[in-house]
Amino acid sequence: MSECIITMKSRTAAERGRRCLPRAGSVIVSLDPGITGNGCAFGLRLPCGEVGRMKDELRRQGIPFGTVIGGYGAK
Amino acid sequence: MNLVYLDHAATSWPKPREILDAARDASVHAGGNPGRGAHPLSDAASGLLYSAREEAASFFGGIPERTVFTSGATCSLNIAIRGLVRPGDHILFDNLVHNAVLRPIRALEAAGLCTSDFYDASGSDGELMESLRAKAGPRTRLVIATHQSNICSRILPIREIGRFCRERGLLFVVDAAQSGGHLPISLPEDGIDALCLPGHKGLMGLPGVGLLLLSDRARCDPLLFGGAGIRSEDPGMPEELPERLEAGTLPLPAIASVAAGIRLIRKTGLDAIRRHEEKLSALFAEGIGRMGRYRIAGESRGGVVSILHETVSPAAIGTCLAEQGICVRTGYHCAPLAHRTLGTEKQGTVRVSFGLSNTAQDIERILNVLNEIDEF
Repeated sequence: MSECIITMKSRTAAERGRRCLPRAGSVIVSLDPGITGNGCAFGLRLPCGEVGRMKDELRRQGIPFGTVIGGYGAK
Repeated sequence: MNLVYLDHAATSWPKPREILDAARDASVHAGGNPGRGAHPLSDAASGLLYSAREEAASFFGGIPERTVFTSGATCSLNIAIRGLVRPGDHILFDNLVHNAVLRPIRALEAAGLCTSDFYDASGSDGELMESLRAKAGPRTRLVIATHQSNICSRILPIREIGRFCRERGLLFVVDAAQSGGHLPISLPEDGIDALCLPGHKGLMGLPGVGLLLLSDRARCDPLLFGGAGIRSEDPGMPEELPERLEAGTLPLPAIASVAAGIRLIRKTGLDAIRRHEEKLSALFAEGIGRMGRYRIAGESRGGVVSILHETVSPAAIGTCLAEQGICVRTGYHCAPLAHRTLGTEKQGTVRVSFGLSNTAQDIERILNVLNEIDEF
């Protein structure tokens, strides 16, 4: 299963994101500062198949997020 | 010697077992730095921190992202006052304020950044509102209210003040150092833009944590600058809340203890806590009334009661009580303006403040010693 990362604006936003859709099984990860271009950041790692649902839920709950990076660990 | 602790307005004691357990569990099982990395211990710490934000936000009607942890109520008030005021602004505050409000304002005035005045909280609620209306001018931007005095049981009508602020487009800051965990407070219903309170008093947590809950319209500049765990390449603090106002490592064990305190208050019930404190203060006031030469300063129906004796100084009374293992606080209580308002500025008062752990026997013990002093 491919994994994707949704970049999040802050660790607090990542925590909120993780909780807003528990069934997606997302995990909070540290991102390479080079990815954001302005230093340390966090992201939600989850199955790529869940990204659409997760983005919808993030939007619905007003949780800010950035780009989607994917897919890692493709099998 | 069995201690009688009647200084809950300074800090709560003893800490309930749930509070100590929460702090220990956080240290053992979530010992990483919250928001700094994603290894298991940091992840556990971040999760616990966010849960504490949710707990506090839901208790006070706020939202987690705008619930900021600080080092205490003083820090929260400094951030709110200094962070919300813009050059040329006028600030209005009540005349029962603590120095945690007065000194940041005086510092801003000394720097030529703002002007200020106080509205009179010594009379009825109607008179207070009249005074506030009369003093609010075109440059007024911020109104600050002491929800409950730290010297007596005077409670300010924050909902009415909040409504006035909304009507006038003013920002409303509430110092809830004595009311948080004792009285119901709701950010939206009371029209509060910045709610400032400590974690170690009414919320019963460990010292070292304060809360600052911000409304949607409060744009607060940071007071402290440093690491926030995100956007490290930016020269300034990040725009995102709460990180914008939380530079440096947060004291997670103390924060976890505050969340446990809130859960305990929910379980006990705010009304039950209030009733308990009112019962004790009524018992105390009744006993004081039976003695010849004491008087009560200000209002006494609540968690805080101040007394004075005709001939014995507050400091001497405090010493006699301490010798008998009875803990109260004497003097000005860091609120000299409030003492001037109450007419007790000469020597201050003996402040007796009650908490959930106190009993009628505690009141009996302090009254016995006060009676001995009176008859001496």
